[in-house]
Amino acid sequence: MAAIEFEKVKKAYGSDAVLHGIDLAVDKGEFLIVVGPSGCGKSTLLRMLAGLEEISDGTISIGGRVVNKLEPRERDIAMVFQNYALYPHMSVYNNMAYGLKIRRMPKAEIKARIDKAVEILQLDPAMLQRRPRQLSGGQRQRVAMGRAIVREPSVFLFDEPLSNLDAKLRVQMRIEIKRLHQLLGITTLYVTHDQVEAMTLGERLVVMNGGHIEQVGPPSEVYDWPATRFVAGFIGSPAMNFMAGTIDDSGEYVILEGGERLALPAGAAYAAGRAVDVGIRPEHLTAVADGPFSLSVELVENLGADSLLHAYNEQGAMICRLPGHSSLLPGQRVTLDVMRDAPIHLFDSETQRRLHSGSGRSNG
Amino acid sequence: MVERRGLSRVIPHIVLLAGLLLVGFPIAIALIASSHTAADLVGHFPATFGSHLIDNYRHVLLAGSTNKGAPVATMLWNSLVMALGISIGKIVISIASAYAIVYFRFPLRGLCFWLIFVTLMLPVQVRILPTYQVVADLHMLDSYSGLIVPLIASATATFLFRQFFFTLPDELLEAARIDGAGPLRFFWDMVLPLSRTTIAALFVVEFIYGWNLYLWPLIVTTRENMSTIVMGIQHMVVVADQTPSWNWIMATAVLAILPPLLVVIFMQRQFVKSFVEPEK
Ligand SMILES: Nc1ncnc2c1ncn2[C@@H]1O[C@H](COP(=O)(O)OP(=O)(O)OP(=O)(O)O)[C@@H](O)[C@H]1O
Ligand SMILES: [Mg+2]
Repeated sequence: MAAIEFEKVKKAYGSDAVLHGIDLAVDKGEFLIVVGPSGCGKSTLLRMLAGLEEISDGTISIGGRVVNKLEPRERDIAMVFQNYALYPHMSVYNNMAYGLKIRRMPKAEIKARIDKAVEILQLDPAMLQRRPRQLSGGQRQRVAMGRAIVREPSVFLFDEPLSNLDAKLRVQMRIEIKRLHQLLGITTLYVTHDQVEAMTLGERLVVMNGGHIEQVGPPSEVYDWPATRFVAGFIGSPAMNFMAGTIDDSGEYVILEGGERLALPAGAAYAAGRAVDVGIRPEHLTAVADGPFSLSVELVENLGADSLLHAYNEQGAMICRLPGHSSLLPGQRVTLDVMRDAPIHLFDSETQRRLHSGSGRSNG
Repeated sequence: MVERRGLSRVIPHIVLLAGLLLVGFPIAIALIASSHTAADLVGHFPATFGSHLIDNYRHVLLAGSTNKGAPVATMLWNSLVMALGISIGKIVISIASAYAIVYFRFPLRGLCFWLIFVTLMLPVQVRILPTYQVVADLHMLDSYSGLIVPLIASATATFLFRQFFFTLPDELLEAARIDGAGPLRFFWDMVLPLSRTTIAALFVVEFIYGWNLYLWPLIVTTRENMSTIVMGIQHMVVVADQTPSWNWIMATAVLAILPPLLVVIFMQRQFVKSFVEPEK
């Protein structure tokens, strides 16, 4: 039985439909990441699960129990907010104890649970008597997580918990959250904007766009086999290069706008004359002496381990990830080719769906 | 803070000193006058303190400053009950109605808010006759409830609390709901403690307002032992067939400003805090 199940869940604010029928099952103990552009309904989905928003249509169940009409406190969930939402007038201890006190838990047990959370989160026990405003952002985030942990809920909900932290702290807390999940094994839904969090934290990734789920799968599968053009462009940084093209008469090559000819991946039949979008990831391009793409260098970003080459021609701009430092200069000509055996991704120009399935599964 | 030098440092002090003199001078006169006998004050005004300070205060507190009025102690008590009743009543009613308006969705919520808001345009002076009629019909004349109840509905205070509640982040409510707090718990555990400084500021303002009320108590009370201190002072000045006893009148005036002064002194820190440091 799934720990959480969304069935045809819809949400509308008045006449504005925000979610258009979400179907999703989350396994017990799973760490599920939800990503998508701003305004696609990620928070709304999470808040409906938490009971903070009404469900316009469909059902949500937690542990097999339909929760549509239940108050947040009856759903056995805990949530960590982006801005922490600590109670400003209570000490750190009372912030964590508040939910337990309401549940009339004995004082000794409250203390035991908080002590355990303090240990898990490596909080300084001296901090327990302070007010939230006397803590740093990272410490507040830990306290907010502590408040969720002490409840021992069956589901954790995170809504962009790290986006208010600086880059270094974010890396640290990301690892912490992953460790926490491995330790406690509680089913977790985690909304994020961050590519790295999306790729590394979870066991499965849900990519949303405009109130729909575009794809669900393990991060590597979503990365390697994006089901739609949107997913291909959204996951991965820098984003995938896209070019318009047409399948040639033999069905073995695609002719790009600029006249370049690329061999099609084997394993599928392509209808001759079909209009397609061709996607190639920056790391699958390489600078060569002679290749299909001839461009001018716009700029080079040296990142240390590798460098990003931004180049353009009449058809548009392309980004290529080159190993090591690059000595290319702006204005220079460069010729790029797709690496041997590297995948190229084909999407129907009209439906935006992936054309060849390869070994990856695609959702719906 | 910008460091100030020269003129820009002197001028604020001059302004402050001028203000201090302006406010302090009448109080000094009242204090000096209340330390002399009535005879000493006829024809000239003494520049120094006399020797009857204690006598005068004891007299007005216990016996009143005219032959017929109530003792000042009674009037002080009446004023205190009225001012406390009004300020506490206003706070209780307006925080509750603001909470309802901000945190609950009920039919005609918008209309309710606007009805409350419109009463801002109807201060006591405007509705004094109908209100008097209502109080008279309810047999509340010459009683504390008659003095207090008609004045405790406050659109201003409701509005102030409403604005304050809007500054509390939504996530606070959501976190509390997830923690299991219902509407009443959220009010007691979150809203009330967070409103502490707003409440303190309102209390100061409303206490002074209630203490200084003149027209309303004048209208609803006729019995001497129900009159308030502000009314009392007025009565003393216009006694018939008698020279006003300025020493006693001044002693009464000094006593009358003490309670508001104490309220300001004790609540000052909270009051200022409510403007500079909302605890959020
Ligand atoms: N209370 C509301 N009333 C009307 N529309 C709303 C309300 N809350 C959210 N929306 C709309 O619902 C859509 C989804 O919002 P949601 O907050 O779920 O987006 P999100 O994916 O979390 O975005 P972000 O990444 O910026 O947080 C948005 O278009 C938003 O304008
Ligand atoms: Mg959001």
